[in-house]
Amino acid sequence: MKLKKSRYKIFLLSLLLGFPIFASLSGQPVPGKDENIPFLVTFGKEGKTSWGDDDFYQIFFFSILKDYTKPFYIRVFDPDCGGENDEIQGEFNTKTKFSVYGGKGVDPEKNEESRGLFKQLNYKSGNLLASKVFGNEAKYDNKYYSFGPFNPAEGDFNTKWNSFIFKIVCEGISGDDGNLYKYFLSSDPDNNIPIEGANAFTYAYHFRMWNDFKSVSHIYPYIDTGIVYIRQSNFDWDNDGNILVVSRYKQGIQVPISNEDNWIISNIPIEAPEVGSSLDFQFHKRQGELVKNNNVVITLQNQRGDAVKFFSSPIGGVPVYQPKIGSEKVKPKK
Amino acid sequence: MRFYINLKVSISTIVFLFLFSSLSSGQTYSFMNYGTERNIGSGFVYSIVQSNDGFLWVGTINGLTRFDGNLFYPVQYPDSSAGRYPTKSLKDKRGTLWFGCSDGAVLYEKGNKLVSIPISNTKSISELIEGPDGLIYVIPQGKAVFSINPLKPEEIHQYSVSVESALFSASFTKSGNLLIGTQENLLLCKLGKDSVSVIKVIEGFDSYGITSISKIGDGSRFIIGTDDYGLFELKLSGKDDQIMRFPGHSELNTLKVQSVVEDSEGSFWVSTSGSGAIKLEMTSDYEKVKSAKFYDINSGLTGNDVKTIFQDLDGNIWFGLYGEGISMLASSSLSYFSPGKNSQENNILYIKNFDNNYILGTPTGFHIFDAVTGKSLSFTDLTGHTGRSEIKSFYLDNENSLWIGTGGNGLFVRNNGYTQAKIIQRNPRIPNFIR
Repeated sequence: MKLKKSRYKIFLLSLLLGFPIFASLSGQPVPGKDENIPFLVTFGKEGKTSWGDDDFYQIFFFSILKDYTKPFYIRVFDPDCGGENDEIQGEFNTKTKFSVYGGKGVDPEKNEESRGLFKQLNYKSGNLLASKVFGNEAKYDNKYYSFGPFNPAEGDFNTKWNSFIFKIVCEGISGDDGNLYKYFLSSDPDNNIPIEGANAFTYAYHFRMWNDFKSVSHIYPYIDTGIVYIRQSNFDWDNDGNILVVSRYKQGIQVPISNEDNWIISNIPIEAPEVGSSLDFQFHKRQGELVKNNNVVITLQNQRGDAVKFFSSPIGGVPVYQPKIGSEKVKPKK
Repeated sequence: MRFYINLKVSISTIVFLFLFSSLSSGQTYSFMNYGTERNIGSGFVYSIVQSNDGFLWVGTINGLTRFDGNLFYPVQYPDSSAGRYPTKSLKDKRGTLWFGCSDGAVLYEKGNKLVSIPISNTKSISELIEGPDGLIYVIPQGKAVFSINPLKPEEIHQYSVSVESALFSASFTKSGNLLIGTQENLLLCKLGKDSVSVIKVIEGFDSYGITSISKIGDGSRFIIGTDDYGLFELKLSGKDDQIMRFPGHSELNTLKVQSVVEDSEGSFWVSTSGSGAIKLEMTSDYEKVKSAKFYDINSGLTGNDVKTIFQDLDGNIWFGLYGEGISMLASSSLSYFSPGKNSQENNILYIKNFDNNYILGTPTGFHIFDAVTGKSLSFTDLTGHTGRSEIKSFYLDNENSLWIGTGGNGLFVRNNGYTQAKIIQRNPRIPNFIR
């Protein structure tokens, strides 16, 4: 009986150790539910960087556990640039191309170019599985368009996560307007049905801030083993409030923010208890005069210069500061 | 040839097994479906082609399999192949099978084994076509186009491609130029000595993903399949190319087309994502669509995502489904029946006219089968008369006596009028296995 118990424990332990870090997640909406970000944003390539997009493209990766073997879809909400939600510059004249990639060359851990941090490198690596250009089209306005079906096994397999990786690239191929959109990784072409164990991540987050004072947006970089500090770079924040970094160890350290059309860089030290969990970057709007339609960009690197991922569904859950409570043994009164 | 016969025999047998189970109410068709239960490897099918010996070569996400009409047998790649799957297949005029793969590899079949072609390419293969010069042209997603001499497969020529967009489809024109469909337009290209140059962008397809180009007749007309924008007809005429929709068939304008192939009767089959398959019958001048018949879940197909369509040597249409294996629609020359209640009663060994009906012999007995209604009028179980020995053969003689050969228990005859069967031969010294 004892032997059986120990075997059972070994089995449980091996399951826990071997289980991928995404296993308990279902982080299909992008931006994620916990992120509270209204929209992703990509401008037409003739736009100005001062409008909040430094490179006019955005890349997101989706990971799907190997065990999931049914077709899936990448749904894009409001893929057109016109009508509701999008940011007009003069008149709507922007074309946006969404392209889905799978196969070798997609996994950004194996192929750094795929991360898309440098425009001159080939971030469109992998096999093109689907692509579509959207202009100002009412039939796609404020609605979902579904790419797919895709076979999960057409992704680039990542052994560490036991998952297949896919990539979606959004490019503003012409015009100067801002396309605001969202993604949902779904098992259904017509409805948003999450896929158990899936997640999404990016290395450069381009998004729209809320147009109200109260809403706080979040992003959740994962602190992997070996990270001593991270270097954050934020772009075009327009001095719009504060960025606070919260973790189970940090109550909220302030990060300097950029102004119009510039980058600002700073380092954030990582403590040992933070490794293997997510940080919570909180974006608090400036009180007083409201900054409207603020589009921003943020990227992170570790001390070695390697890009750090932002997960749409925070690995290990949303980090909550855990203050150390001192304790002292009280001697009983005589 | 032996395999070809086996395939046909097996298909007939299986057809008997499965026909009625695949029918449903409404306008349904006789599909036979083959999924993972028959070792297909994966339900995601990308390519189907048939070798001259009758085997179907089916490309799935898990690799290539050969199908003998009953089971699928995996085919080994000749080299390391992690993550590889066949994306396209082609049988050339000599009968050699060619396969293009997701990792850029190109293979051909030699003696039922695969041989790798040493091309310098890592891009997924979008198209394999046989050129007017008899060479095999390989169209990867980008960077280069290759030609291979099928007589000397080591003779490979590379043409550089300067087009930035991913290449999705291609076909040769009447004048020997190359029509190339990309992720966002349609290009008329010329093959130079070492490069592919764009002669012109065909207007009217701006921002359309061109997923399929199917030649009509001599190569001055094409059916163009697009992702999301359905089907077009293109007439190339030098200066003024004509792009047309198919009048009266607006349902063809929003399809997510995966492939378009022509069958032996001149009809075109369109595979789609989400809308199943469509058979287009066109007028003799190809100006109009006479009928567009949809084959989807409502008509008995197991899924609406059809990646590829293939017509075999018997004229049957095969659908490569995306997630659901393969399905076969029998050619109009064949009808399929499932007379028995179980697999033993559907294992048909013998067919012979009997009065206005048929005798269908099985390992346990025989049916009197009415082909008009497609139903068994009766089934006579002979196991009690043959000592439980499996029946191996039947013969109905001119006097309508039924001779029954068993596997080890001798020969029986059942006289006309169905009197008690009697043993003709049961000598332990003589082999009693009757074939």
